[in-house]
Amino acid sequence: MGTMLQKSGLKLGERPELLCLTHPETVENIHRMYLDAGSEIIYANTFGANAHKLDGTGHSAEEVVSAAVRTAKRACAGRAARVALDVGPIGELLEPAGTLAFEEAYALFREMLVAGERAGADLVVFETMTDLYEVKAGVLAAKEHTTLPVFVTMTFEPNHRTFTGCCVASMAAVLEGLGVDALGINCSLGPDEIFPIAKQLSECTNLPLIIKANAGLPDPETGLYDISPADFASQMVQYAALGLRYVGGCCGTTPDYIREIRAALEGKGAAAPAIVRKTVVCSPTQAVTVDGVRVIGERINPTGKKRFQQALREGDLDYILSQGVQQAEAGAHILDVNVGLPGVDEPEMMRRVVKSLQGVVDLPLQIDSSNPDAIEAGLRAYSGRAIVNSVNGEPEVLDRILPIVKKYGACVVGLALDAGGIPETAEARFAIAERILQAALAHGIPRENVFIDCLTLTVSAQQAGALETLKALRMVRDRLGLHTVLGVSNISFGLPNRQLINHSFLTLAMAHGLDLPILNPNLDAMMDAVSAFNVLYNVDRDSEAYIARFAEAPAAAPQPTGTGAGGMDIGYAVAKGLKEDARRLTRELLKEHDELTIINTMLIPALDRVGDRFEKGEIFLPQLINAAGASCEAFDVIKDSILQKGAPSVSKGKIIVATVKGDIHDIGKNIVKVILENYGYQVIDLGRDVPVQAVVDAAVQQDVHLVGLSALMTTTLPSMAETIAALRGSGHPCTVFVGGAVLTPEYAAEIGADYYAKDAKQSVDIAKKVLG
Amino acid sequence: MEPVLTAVNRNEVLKYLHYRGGEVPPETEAQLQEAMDTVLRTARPRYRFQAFGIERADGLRLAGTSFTLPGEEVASLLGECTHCVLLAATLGGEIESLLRRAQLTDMARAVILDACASSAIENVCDNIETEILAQHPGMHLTDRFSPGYGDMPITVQRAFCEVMDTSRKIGLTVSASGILIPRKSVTAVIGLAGRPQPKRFRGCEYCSLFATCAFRKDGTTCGKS
Repeated sequence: MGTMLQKSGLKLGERPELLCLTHPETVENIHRMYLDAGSEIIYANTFGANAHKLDGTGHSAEEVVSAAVRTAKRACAGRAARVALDVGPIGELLEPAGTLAFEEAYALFREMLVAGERAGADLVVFETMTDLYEVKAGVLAAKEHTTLPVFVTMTFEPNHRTFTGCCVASMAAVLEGLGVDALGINCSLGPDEIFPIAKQLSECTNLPLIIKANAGLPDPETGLYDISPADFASQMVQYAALGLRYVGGCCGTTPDYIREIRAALEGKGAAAPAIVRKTVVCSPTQAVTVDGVRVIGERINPTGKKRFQQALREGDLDYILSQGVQQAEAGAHILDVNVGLPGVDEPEMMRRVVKSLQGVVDLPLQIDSSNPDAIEAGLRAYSGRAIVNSVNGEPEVLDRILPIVKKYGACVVGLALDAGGIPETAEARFAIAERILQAALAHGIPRENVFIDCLTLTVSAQQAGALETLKALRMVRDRLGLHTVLGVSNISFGLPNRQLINHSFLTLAMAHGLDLPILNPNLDAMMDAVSAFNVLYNVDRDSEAYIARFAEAPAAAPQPTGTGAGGMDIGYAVAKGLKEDARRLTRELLKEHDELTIINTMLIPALDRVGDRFEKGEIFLPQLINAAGASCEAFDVIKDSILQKGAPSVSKGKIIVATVKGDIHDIGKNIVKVILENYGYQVIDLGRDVPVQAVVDAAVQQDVHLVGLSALMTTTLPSMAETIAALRGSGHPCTVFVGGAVLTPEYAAEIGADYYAKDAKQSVDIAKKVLG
Repeated sequence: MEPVLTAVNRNEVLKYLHYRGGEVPPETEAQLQEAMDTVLRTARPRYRFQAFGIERADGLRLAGTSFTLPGEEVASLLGECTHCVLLAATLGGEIESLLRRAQLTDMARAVILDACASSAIENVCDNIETEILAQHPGMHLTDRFSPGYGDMPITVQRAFCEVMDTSRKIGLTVSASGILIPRKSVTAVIGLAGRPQPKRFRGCEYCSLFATCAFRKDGTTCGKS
């Protein structure tokens, strides 16, 4: 359509969709030409007819979509052909990489979809998609507001990934899970280049395949594509073997191409080859096939962790995200996400954490909650195929949660327990596992997406229990053919040298069939056990991964470079950014001095000296931040010491920092945060692109009287002004300081800020003045 | 095709990091080296450019499009040109997630990586200019001029990216507030002229940081002029 519209005089930058209002006969004629060439499905001219792209044209999505679908239907009059509502990308990137909220994308799609169905479209095609999250918003909107069949095609690069990094296996897993009717590939490349990608896709799914290639690549000067209709058709013939169900053309494919494809593929249809169904969990960028031991990291969980609980209460997402990044770096394959804590709105927190985690880790997530609303919030906000942890053998639980698992196409963990508690014997646990499997199958969840947790009991309390767990693992694997999940660390409560028990039990469990252990990947002993198991069970061929793991290990800890009494003092360690030394020296100092003395007479003066040197240009930014990092280590030691004594905290006061609504340049704000924390202030970081009301709410609810706002763009300064106005309007007394590249002291005063901070150092000066 | 990202300019990175001479300590030097390597390894640069005739009927309209370039300064930049090139380039989303991850685990590294990425996208643009020149033998290029410079409002960004179809062709999108996403990206117009063009638009007075720039207050520049 676009190709033909350009031929008929459409200019670059003009909205082609508007032609259905201004020149419907032109569009109708183009449709007819394709129908005459043999098209059985034609796409209405609605690709970019969303409210976002139509903004400023004076036309609503409903108006344009209705006109376009009616035009296509007129062209089809008297023929059996079907009309597809064509839906392209919104044109703005979704959070967390962009600023368009998932829910906004959903609303934009819904408007098009409802109008399209009402105008008589026979199906909807999402095409040229590169972001799986955006596709998910569209597919959910289609499923929840229309009865139209849903087709999806995405656009891949020669490296088998989309621009946003989405891989073929993830696309298949997520879209199959969401219940689309057909899927495939369009645009970007010619038939020969797309073929290997299509082949991979055909091996991942049984769903009908769609291929719409470009007519080669456009000539930059003439805009003409370089493959002739006949060549295009002959390149398409190879696709017959994949059992292709829907075929067409994208950029550059005029009706002549369609005519040639029809002729070339006539009578060449083949059945889709059978595929082996595998267990796949994924993020858009990483598909993890469970065909060996895959480690689920357990650290995103507040149970028994004071620091994590505090982060949840304060909404300190960065701390939670850093736990995710650390585990990914330590080699976890999947991350468990548990944010349940009394007093915390679990569904809302789950939604926020899942959304944010996707921006920093590529690992698939396991949504860990017993609250159905939190489970749904997490699954809905996630752009991959997640695992739900967990259900159990209770019929009410199964009936409540399995439909959610099915709707979002997730995998599910069933705990081998029920209202009667955890059965003592392996046989009784197995019986529950069987019941869970039957219930899942009855809800339409495929067998390979059901995992069983045979449950770990504390061996010091119930010594016979460990053997029963191991036995149950083997029974579930051998008799049901299901993957098993198990949290292993509980085994060792109450015993000395817990790690020994933990990794010994882990090894035994893996030998009995456990393939999804939940553990702390930051503990080397646990990951070492997995590594060794993979060698011994002939999984890690030639011990390659094992050798690599231990080749990288540091030979020995570096020798301390000085002593407390001799060459080095805490000031030097801080100034040089020596984290290890800062910890060690602080521990030594605590033997002779109290915490506040160390902070006020040593750490802060040391930081001040570093700050002064930074101001004078004697050191530069990374050195300033390294120094802050070292003093952070010192502060951690001091905080621990205070916690042990039960003394009141050393916080010098609370400060909110936020990058304002619409802006995502937050590196400056993050530098300010690090530096302020190292002066002993408690910083509540609301993140970036923060709504006005969220800043006000946080200030009022957490009783904070100093707020720092940052903005980098001239276009986002108005939201800074709005945020300040809202803070003032709330009547909550607070001091506001602002910073960011385009700000000036004059402008800061004009929008009602109390202070302008040109850099992190000045933020500290302001904090000292306001909070002491 | 020649690689379009060839180097990270160490001096440029040091300037971005507020380095004003003196010793670069060895530990920082090591961080610097690691960051430059990581950025070169992680970036997936993508770009496109297209030449347009300039129609001077009502404002500066690009031939065959509905797009006009607003502002006095771009008009002056393109004063001697009958054609101009629109250029759009991005380092890709991989760099974005790298920077986000680093900010969570090691802020100093994040700051250095950020500076390296800024330098890398400049390097990409420089290399693209060479390619543009090769396609237009005998022509000379003006400076690059981007939405948000001088009197060209940042709000032009959206129409610019529509005309260049950047979201579809190279995965470059514009947020509601005119921010390019992925962030380490550049859009710019470059004039094609028959004779060498003076360097004039990369000076401090055209920079959006003019009012607050720490370098300028110290009497130096960030090195981009």
